[in-house]
Amino acid sequence: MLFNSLLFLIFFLVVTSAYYLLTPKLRWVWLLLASCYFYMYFKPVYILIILFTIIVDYIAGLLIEKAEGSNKKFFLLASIVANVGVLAVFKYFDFFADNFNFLSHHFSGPQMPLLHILLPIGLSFHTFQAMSYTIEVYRGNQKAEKHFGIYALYVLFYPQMVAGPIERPQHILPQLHRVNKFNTTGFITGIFLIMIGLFKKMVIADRLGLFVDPVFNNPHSHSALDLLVAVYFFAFQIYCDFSGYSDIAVGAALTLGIELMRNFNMPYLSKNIAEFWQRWHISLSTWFRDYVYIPLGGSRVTFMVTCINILIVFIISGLWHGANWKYLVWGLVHGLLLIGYQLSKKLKINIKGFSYLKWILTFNLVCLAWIFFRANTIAEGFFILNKIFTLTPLHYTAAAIMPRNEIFYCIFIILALLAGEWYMQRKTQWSKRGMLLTTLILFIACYFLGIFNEAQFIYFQF
Amino acid sequence: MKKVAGILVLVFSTLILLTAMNQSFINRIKNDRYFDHLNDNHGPRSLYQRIFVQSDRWAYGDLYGLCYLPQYRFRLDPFKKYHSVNRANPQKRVLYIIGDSFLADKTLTSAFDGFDNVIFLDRRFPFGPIRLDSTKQNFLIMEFAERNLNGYDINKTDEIRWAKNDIKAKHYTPVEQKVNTPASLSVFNRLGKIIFNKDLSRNLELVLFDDRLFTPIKELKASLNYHLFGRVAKEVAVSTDKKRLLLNITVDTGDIHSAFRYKSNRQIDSITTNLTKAQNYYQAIGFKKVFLSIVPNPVSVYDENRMPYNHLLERVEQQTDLPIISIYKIFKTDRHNLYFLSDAHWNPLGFDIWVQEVNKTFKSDHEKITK
Repeated sequence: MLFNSLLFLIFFLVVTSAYYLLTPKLRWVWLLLASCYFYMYFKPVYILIILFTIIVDYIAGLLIEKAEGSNKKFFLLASIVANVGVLAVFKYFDFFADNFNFLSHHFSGPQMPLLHILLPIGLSFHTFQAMSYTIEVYRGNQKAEKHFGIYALYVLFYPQMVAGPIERPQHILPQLHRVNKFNTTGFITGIFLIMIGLFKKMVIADRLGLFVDPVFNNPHSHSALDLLVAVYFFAFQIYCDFSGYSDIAVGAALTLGIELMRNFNMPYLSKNIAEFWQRWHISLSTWFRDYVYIPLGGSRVTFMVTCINILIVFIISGLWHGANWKYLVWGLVHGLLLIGYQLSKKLKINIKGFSYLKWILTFNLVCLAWIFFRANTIAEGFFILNKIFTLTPLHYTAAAIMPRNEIFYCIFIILALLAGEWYMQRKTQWSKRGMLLTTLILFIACYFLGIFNEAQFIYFQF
Repeated sequence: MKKVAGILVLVFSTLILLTAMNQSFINRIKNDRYFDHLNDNHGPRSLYQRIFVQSDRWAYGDLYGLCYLPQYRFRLDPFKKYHSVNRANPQKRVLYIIGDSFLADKTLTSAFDGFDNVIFLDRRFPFGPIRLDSTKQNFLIMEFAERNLNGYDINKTDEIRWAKNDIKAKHYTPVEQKVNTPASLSVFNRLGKIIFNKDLSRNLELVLFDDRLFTPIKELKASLNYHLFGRVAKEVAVSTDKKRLLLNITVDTGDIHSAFRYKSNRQIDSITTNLTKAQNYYQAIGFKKVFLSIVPNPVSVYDENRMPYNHLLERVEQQTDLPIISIYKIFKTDRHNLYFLSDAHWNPLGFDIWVQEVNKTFKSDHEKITK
């Protein structure tokens, strides 16, 4: 089910109203059933995959807690293998087989059959969330959950199961046990956040997509200027698409009295690439930091090993996004940028001031990496890069896709977004009336200026 | 107070959801709305009609109903009723027409002279094998909207698949019936189809926001987007002279149905080969003669200079071996407006020209045979 669909609106009303009308003992059952429906609407049979990982991790959690020494490690490894195995089969098998076949073909070797399985939606998100549970139980930071239903809800909780935020058990499980009374302020804040998310998705991201998609899908027919505009627009399209989803998720959870972590913090205002990763997709960055980077030694090892660790993390992060070489290149570019930043720190190249220049440089470097993320192939990514840097031809040729006045409107709405976010960050206290009024304005804007094509959220595919 | 509000929200939204899940009820609403504007009965309306049937989706043309641009809000002229001559004397001739939306819902029975019966088969819906009355002479017109020629393949039609036994008897829908759900699904599958109905969002829109009450708001939104960004609903395009709405698939070169998408000679050969195959098949099952009639896209008549036109219609008519009932040149030279301005189809004048051409063709054909 998509957040930007009418079905979600009705689903939300039914689920939220019934949640508060039910007795507290039945609420988790209701939320679990609703979450199952939410997920099964994409493809009912895929619920079995999640059910498999839920059962495995639930049992693993209990066993890890009871076990001692090497047994503890064994159960953790078994759980990780099961989770990664699901990812390997459903997400990476065809990618691996395809590349194996390509190499094998050159040496006249055997060919592997492809599975051609439709990727279960949000698989990487809920698998990572499930893995964080067993790891935290192993580390002793979280007690094993005895209540199977609550544990299942931890993995399946509908607002965040498809595209995050990837939560930690310490943060969510106690909230799922708690009895939440209806809180008017929390409810209005939730609706307010949902509306902000819908605005970002329908008014900004999907409008930018009207330009970005045709240009990136046919880069050879476009000028350097078209491509440059498409790259900048994509940076904001993906931001509004993903942070919009996160806002809706956080808002929907808040209406049920459950707080989710913040996933974005104005990432395009970062002044270096390390700061960018502290502000972009925070739940995934911290996941990799806590469960991959630090266990590898983090920055407590030699500089060389730190650099290798950074590269490992970003290559995995790239592949996490999709089974395609282009995501690996995207991860690699970010890894190299971060190594460059660490090197500048090590060499104490610290230019004071010029904060605007640092911001512009960081934003442009991030945009450069986005080219490989959005291009259909790596070759097309390099083609776009080459065309942009040669700056020829430098005139606008995409008027049939988007007239100039709409381009200016898009630029205006992007600036308005940045100003709005900056204002929201400064204004920590909102009155109920202020939130309701803003919600109403955003609703009207969504209706009149939004794109109603029920476009899927970009991050759903991961 | 909060509890009462909660109960009201729950009851209302559950009812709406259940209504949207009931696909047969939704189909009934759609059907009633489609025929509502053709209904001359202006008497008191039932509660069902007042709640579910009052919509502007079809009243001003299918393209208006897709985009709600107020400047294209035109009432559609009704089609005239024909009275055929020579109906009293049995002619022992039957006319079959396999066509598309251009002929659907038209009174064809009395439009053509010299036939005891006229049977229309809508290609858009599956129909089973045609069983001809061998005591009569059976004629067939294959009518195509120009856009629908693309991708036509007789071997992929249900009638051929039926003949080859690809379609099992339980899935067979008789000619008189519209599509229905196969009755062979298990309870589990049926429940799944209801609960996880992929059209739920569309159905909800139909139930909640398709009422005439929302038309002014929809028109305001459409106007705003059109005047600010030149954008209309993705299914619709505005003609270069801004006088009419066009079906976007006939304009957008990214779509196979576009009149401006380049067509190689090989592609034209493929279309004509398929048409010949169809002719051979229909003659083999007993049709005396098979005619081809292509209805031009409105864009091919009124806006062909918009982009390089692919001349699909003329090229097919030139190349095919089938006897053709051609109207393209007449449409191009006629000074009247032959298509609705806010609909993808012809108006009564355009339809009447086609009827006259069909009658002319059969008359001259009959004279040739009798001479």
